[in-house]
Amino acid sequence: MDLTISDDQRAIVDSVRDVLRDSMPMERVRGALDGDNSGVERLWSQAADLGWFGLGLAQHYGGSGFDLIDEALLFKELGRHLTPGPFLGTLLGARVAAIGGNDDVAEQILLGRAPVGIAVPRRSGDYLIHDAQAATYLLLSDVDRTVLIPAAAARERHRLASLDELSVRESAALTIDPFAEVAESFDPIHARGCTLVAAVLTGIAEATRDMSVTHAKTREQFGAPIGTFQAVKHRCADMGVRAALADAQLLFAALSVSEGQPDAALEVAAARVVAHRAALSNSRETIQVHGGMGVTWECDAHFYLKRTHALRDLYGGERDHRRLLLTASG
Amino acid sequence: MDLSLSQQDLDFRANAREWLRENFPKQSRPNDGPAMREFDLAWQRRQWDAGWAGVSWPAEYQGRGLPLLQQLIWFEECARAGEPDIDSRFVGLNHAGPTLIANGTPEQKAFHLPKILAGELVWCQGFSEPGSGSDLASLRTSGVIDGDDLVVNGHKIWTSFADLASYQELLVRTDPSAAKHRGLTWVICDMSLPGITIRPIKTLDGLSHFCEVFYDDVRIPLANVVGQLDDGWRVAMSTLSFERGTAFTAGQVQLTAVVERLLEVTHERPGPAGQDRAIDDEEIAGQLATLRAEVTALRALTYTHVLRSAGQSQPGPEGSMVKLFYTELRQRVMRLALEVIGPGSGERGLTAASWDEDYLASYSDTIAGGTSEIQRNIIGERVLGLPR
Repeated sequence: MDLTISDDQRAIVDSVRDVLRDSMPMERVRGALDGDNSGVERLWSQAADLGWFGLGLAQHYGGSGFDLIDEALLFKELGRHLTPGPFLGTLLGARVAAIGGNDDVAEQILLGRAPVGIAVPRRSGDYLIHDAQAATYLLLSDVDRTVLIPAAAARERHRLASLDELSVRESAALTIDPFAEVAESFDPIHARGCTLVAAVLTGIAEATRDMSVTHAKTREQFGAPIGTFQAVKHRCADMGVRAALADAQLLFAALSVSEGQPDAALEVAAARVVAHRAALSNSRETIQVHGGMGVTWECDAHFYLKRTHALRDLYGGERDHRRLLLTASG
Repeated sequence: MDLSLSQQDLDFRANAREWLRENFPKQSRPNDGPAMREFDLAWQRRQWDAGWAGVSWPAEYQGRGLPLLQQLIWFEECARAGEPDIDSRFVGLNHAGPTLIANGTPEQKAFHLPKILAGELVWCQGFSEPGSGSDLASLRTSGVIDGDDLVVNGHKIWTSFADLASYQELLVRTDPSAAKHRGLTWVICDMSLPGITIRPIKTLDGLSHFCEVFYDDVRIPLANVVGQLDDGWRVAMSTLSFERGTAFTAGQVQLTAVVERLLEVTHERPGPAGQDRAIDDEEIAGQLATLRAEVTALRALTYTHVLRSAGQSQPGPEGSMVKLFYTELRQRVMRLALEVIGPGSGERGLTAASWDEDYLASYSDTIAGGTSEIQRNIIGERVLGLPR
């Protein structure tokens, strides 16, 4: 057992951070809201050049041959930086196309030329489509199998209101005629998807912890930084614990999936639940710590809160994982 | 990074499990008094005789000198076998032992460490005082040098097992003119010395593990000072960070087993609203699922913390995160257990203690070894860097 972050992994994180800081700082994320997509497009082509979409895909499939844990480190940064774009669907879609035997499609996806959205069935019988804009393909995943279908298969598409202004969601009817399909028992795409959503949420929990700490160190009231007051300090401490817990469990989930450990299902469900709770609590709390600023549009806190809510049902929410947590063997 | 255990680790686990199956005490553990002391020490002696004592203690002090990971595996297997998370061996094995290894003189180590490992005696801790709880550094019990002795006068409180212990890790003020964190000294106190009076305190679970200890001109040889004179705060903090970092590992592992047991129980008994099975109750199912996710994550946090602090002379302040989350989670688990089992059933839980006793005992978890409020201060200031 080895839980130390390697030099290679540190290098991945540093490089992702540099790219996101340069290409997608918060001004550009906000720019995307006002219809300026130049930042998003530039980052997308950089991501393709850097091999992000095939980071954990074996080299003989055209990927970079890293592990799920390395993809999780990437997605944690995407969560931290509120990066908009169909990163998750595209990374998983490339994997499904490659492993499912459709090399040409896999290549197009890996090159960033065919973004992939994620379709989630709704109780009403139709589908909720995440990152629907500009998607060439759609990914549909459950605990048994994952399929890739052309986005053209979506009919009756309607843009849905989204709490998260940065992610576009649609409802649609789908005819499922997959041209690439991977059974979960062959390659656990669903478990990888859950793990990467947990990674985004962990990134959110860390970013909101850091925002709170920075504010508590600098904002002064009663002649002292508000972080000296226990009412504020203790909120920050709890945010620190939640983020650390989510991060440690993310590590265990990612490693247990790659290694095919017998308790992987439990580890993944735990990671998804703990990370969601951490992201939700920390983004709520950071609004409170920021006081009046916290409820303004100018403060970034609300974007984290909204992104967390938008991710609720992607790869299973807390309720979906409940059954698993009550039955899986540890 | 990887989670898989090496062949050595797997062999170690298999051997541990096999040995525990044969040797774990079959009779139930008395929960108080000298009978409990004898039981705990006999169990430690059995481990010592078979070479299982002090798995990660250095070999030069009669430990096994094995990696911390195998220490965690040993704790996991003991919890699986039904060992209680805390007993009268706790201070010796998890406080005094590691503190002496880090700070003791060769003579102190040679004399005390084998006795702790071999289960010859019990240790207790003399830190808190009636006027010095969370504000530990304000303590007033005095130690005045007189010839080759330290003459101690004062009053300690919340000393678990003082009435059963042979030695105490005692923190006294040796320089009253120094600033409050300076001028303290950590000294080994022989509990049989003249001038010591011990008075047990009954706690809310009806047991009397706690004691008050009074010191009236107690003469302790200066040779018993651990670390330097007036350097006791540093020595004490190394002891506490051991407690917050690794000492509760056994309890954390056990908590996972408690949740799994509770999961079985909810499949076997009726629910609070007349359901066939308690697990069919929405609220119980929801809480249990969250708790299972949380104990799973606690294990990940513990492993990450322990394995990443391997090689450091003492664990870092991140141990406070483990301590804070573990103790509050334990209370949530015990509250749900009481809800499912029903209060006052007297039914035996996972260890020899009843669910009622474990529930009541969990109230001390967020106070002992530094309250949750103090842990939040430490996390805020020393992990997150907030101003004091």
